[in-house]
Amino acid sequence: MINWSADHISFVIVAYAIVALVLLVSVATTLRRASTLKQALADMKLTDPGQKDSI
Amino acid sequence: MQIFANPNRFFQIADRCMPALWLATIAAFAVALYFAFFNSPPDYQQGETVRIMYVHVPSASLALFVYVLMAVASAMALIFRHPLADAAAKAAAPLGAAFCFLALVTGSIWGKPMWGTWWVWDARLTSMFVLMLLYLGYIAVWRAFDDPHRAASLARIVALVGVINIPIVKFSVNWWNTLHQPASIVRVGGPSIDKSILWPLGLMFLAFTLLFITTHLVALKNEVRARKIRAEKLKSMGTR
Repeated sequence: MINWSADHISFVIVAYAIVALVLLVSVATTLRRASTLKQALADMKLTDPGQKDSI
Repeated sequence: MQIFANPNRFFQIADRCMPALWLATIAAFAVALYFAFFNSPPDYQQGETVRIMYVHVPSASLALFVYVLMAVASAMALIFRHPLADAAAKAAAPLGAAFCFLALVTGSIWGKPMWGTWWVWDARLTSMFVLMLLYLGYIAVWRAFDDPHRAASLARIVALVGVINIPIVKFSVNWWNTLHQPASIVRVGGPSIDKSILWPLGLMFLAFTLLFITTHLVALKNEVRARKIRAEKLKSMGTR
């Protein structure tokens, strides 16, 4: 069990906060790009990769 | 391997696995974070700061693994002309760079209370910094050319030449006298750390790996979508 009043605990909190932030931004950016590209394909009347009638 | 050579078939399989992969990633992070914060002891010397290891080591391991994956994919693109190989390497690069950045930053944050300094130019830290530069260089090459075939040719060389740095990072702590500790998990004679710390570390490594696999599949599909859009735009320009 973590001791929240231990020495240097702020280093642990900052490290985890940075990791969470970077990983969330990476995932969000990738998913947002997926959404943008899907929309662009739909606008061009093209099928998404993986759909049965796509090339 | 040949079943995956058809991007359409590959994505049909990937799409079917995607919901399970997201669920497994979230569940793995929940369990790993519980173990990291509430079910593992502080270190007898480092105290609570040892918990930084649970995010530092998986980040560093994945930074190395992703670069090797990029090099293997680049070699496959070069030798077998696999249609997804270049796309797989390109899609992995930003994720690998993120893991490398996290390894450097969390290492620095861990270093300050333990070593008394944020940074030293020892062999492990320097070779890891070189790995970060290689990731940035690889990403820059893809962005520097309008023609994806020219970019791919140069990017493959960067990935294949840069992979020489991976054993240097791994064995730097054995080959040189470094402030960074020697290997304590993947070493001759087995791990030198206690099971109570090894378990949360293994769970966090699993969570990071699942996150990489899931995000990489989405990024790879994005890359194929972008190529399809580019090809269609070029086709429509040609018919004008």
